[in-house]
Amino acid sequence: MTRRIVLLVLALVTVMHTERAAELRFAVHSDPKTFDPLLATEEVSETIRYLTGGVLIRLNRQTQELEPELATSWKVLDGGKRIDFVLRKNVCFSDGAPFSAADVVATLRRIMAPGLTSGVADLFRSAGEEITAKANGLNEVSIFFSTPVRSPELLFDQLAIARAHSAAPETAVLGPFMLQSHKSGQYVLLQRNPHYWKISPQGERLPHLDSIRLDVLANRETELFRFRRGELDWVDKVEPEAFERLKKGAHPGTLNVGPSLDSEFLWFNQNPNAPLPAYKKRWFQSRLFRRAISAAMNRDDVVRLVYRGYAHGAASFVSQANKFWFDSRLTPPSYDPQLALRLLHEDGFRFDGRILRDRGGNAVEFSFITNAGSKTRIQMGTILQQDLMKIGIRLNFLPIEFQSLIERITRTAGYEACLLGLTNFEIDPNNQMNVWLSSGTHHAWNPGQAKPATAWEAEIDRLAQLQHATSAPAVRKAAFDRIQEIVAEEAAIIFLVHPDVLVAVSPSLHNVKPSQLAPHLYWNIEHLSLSGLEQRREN
Amino acid sequence: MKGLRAFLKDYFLIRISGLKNQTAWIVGRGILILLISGLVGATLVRLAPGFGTDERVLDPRLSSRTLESIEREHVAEQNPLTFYVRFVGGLLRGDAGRSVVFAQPVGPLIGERAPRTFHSVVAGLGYGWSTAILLAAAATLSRRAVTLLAAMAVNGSLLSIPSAVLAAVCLFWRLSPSIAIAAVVFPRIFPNAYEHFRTSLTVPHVMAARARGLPATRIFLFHVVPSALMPLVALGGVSVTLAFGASIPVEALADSAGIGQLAWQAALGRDLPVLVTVTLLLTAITIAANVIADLVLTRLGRHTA
Amino acid sequence: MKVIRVLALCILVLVAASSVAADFLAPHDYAEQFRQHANEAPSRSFPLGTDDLGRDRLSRLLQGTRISLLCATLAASLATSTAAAVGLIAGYFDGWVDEIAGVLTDLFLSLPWLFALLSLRALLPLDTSTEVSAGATFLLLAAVGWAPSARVIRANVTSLRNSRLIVHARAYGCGRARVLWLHILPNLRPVLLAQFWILVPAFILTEANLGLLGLGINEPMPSWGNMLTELQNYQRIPEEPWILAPALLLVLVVGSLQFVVSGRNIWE
Repeated sequence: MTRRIVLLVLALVTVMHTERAAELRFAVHSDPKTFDPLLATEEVSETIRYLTGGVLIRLNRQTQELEPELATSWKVLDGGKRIDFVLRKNVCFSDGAPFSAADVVATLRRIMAPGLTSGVADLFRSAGEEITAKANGLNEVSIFFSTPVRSPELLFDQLAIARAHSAAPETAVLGPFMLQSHKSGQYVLLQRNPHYWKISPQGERLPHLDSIRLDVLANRETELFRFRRGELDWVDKVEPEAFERLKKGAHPGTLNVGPSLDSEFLWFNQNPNAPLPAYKKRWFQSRLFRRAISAAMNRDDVVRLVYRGYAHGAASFVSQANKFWFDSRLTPPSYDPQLALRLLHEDGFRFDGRILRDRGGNAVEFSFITNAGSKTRIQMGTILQQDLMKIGIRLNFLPIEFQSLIERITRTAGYEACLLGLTNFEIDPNNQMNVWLSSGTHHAWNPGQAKPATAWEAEIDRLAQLQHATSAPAVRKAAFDRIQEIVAEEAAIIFLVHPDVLVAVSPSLHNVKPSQLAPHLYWNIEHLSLSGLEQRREN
Repeated sequence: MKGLRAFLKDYFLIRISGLKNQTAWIVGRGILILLISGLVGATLVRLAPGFGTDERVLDPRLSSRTLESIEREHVAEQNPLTFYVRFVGGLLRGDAGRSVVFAQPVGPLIGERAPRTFHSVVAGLGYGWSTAILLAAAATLSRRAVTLLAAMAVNGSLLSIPSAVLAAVCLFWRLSPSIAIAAVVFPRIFPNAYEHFRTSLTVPHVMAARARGLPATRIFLFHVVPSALMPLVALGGVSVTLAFGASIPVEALADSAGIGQLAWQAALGRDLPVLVTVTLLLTAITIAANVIADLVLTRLGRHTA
Repeated sequence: MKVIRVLALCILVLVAASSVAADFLAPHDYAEQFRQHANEAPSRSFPLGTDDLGRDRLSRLLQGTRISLLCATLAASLATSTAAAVGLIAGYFDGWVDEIAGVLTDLFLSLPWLFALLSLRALLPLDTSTEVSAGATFLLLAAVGWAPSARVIRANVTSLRNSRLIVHARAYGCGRARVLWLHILPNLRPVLLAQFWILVPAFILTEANLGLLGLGINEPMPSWGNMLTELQNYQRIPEEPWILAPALLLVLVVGSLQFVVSGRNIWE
């Protein structure tokens, strides 16, 4: 009897001290549209792609250096028209099927198929109209581009290799995790890939985590609230106000990682076909006018009041976080209303102390739109409104619903100025050609030009093609620096700030190394671990 | 006996045929309203600015070819009439189309989320109504001004709290979204209930009953409530629609995965199949609630006539 | 209770008067940004403190009261009038008239009017003044917000239609219009007033919710709606309780309104 009691107690103690499953929990802000890694276009699908997809080369988000993943080595040949990979041996998909060069070939064939629409597919297509791949045995593959590609290795950081003969690409993956279940509007559950190839330096099979739960939470306040209650393990891109509150509450794990790659900016509609009065088009097409507006804007106040100091003034798309491509010679314009008035005077505007008027006597008044629901942009717009009032410009600031805004800036050109931001995942500006080229669809101020409308846009086109055509990093850098300088001189886009990366991480999470490059927190997901036995509060 | 049998047969036949006619009329009217609401809803969505646009077009990586193919995803929805005809045809075959925002069939999407919303709404209506009626009764019967003051203070406060704050309170206290829905429904019911109870207490026969010393509870239950029943029943039908309407911002802000949240996200993404389906669902619920209310009203009207 | 009603009336008059005299009473311009004094607690210079951009909260509250009270009250009046008209006609006249009114009411209750609001805003030129766009929004809210009230009013009218008073009036030869206007409508007064004072805060809060979609009142113009959206950040409330001022004022106004309109108990 006594022995039975002892055995029972021992069993109970064992059960109580059994390690609970290590499940990482964080929030995503919408349902994923697809689990197919080659079709991922929006943020959530790309998150799942990163966590489940195996890539040939991985960009280390901290060092910004390329590291071998499924490829143990690679060689760029023929001036960027060919890249040879040697693949890792003895790697299996999550369903146990062996990984080989045939899978890489099949993936590339699929991504180049005409019907496939995704950001990754377009990245590859913009690299070369025709890309072919050839397997040289089981573990070697050569990829051929029809035109030379600058830094082709970077492309492969985003290409998740899929199984050659798989009807559902999400079911057989090479990444550290695989899809287990999904409930629309609630969560996505990923479980560890039992066949994941990576081993830690200590010889342990990775990943350390057993599963990842992505809770679908559209509301940022809810996300923060649940993090504070211990139901989530981290919050990425914390709002500046919330970050300050967490810091005040001495919450451990709040960290300002530094400037992000993102930027906030505004631009004027310079589309000659825009439904705007002719005199307004003349304003917006005037370099002096644009530069004056830029000088009249107090970026320091935007940083201090809107971002609570957690941002840096911006002079270009490229922030300090982009170590190689950042142009340190460019500085954000200082707040100088007197300079603004001088520039406007030079351009024929007259300020009577209250109202600014152009040559034709028209009071300078224009509208600018941004997306409603973004507190930071609304605050920025309100600050700019007051700044411009000091030089006699009346600004109608209109936050409008996002879909309506997209329609105005991409289809109808029915706007005068727009305040928006760019969430930037790419470090190589080659991937932003659609923005720089005058014929580009994302050439914000005047997209899709048949030929450059101005001499400076023609010069930007020339420099963009130059940096695309050469493989010498120094030449590329010089060309791209000059592009940035021209954009700054012309104030084609008026850059405001680069927000900092603000994160909050639970102290029970280990090996988290927040990075300025996205993904900020899970770029090294396979190395993360959770400390053990504390009870997780269920929601 | 023969005469009696004939009379009874005729009576029931008339009643049944009358009922059949009435049912046919109600069903026909309901279908007509459904069809019109679906078409008008589809047209409103189609004509709203931003229809057919997609956040993906802001991605600088995308080529013009990809952008064109994104545009083509909405080609089938350009004409609201042809879309609607095709949609109704599909619906009759059990296919409500495919969601553009969620990239899933609409039917299962709604089926997954419906129980949560129905539970929240039914519970919210129950809490809202019971609290409102109790407080209205207390305020009516109590001689103390403080009771009325307190009831009105509660009512005024709930009427003044934004849905976002209600949703946040539910989140903070780990309450079901039904509490937030109840907080939206309550201030619509209480003033009407109180007003009708108060008015009913001043009608001659009730005053006579009071003068005769009948207990307040008896007067309230057997005289006041029946008098106030008709407008409250009408309000019951309306409160169902209100509760479903309130579930949209409450679920969206509390991140509760119900139909309300679905409708909100579909609205932001101009997801026509989802929005038309939700509109039809809401219309059907509105019709059902109002038909039931009308039937009860008709019954009550016959009793009081 | 009479004392309380008088007090409530005084409060309403005071609030209305302050909003009318906002330009004189406000210590600062509602849009002026004292950027060195952002997020300050109440002080002599800023009696209700300042917001994130250094704007005086009291000045904004006074100005916002003017906009919200005026627009919401007018919209509520319009919606209640429309509901009264539809409810009266539907409840008094049976048959096809009632059916058509019923169909219309059901449609208005269930359609997604948000898209009509989006379309309206898109139709307005970008340089439309804040006042005009706010007016247009509230007008549309009034145009679609009458349906719930109409059903309640209809039920009341149906009940009154067969009451002794109305039967007598008809027996005495009163025409329909006279019956509706002189006999039924006065008896609907409590119901109409109840609907009205429910709609006022409802429209104010709807404006707040619509602000998330860019359909509210634009900066820098304040409104109760856009000031109430600060409360979504509820974690600020314990540290900055003065941000509750617009909510408290709204509760005070709504409470006063309901006391003035229907705060009589049966013992008076």
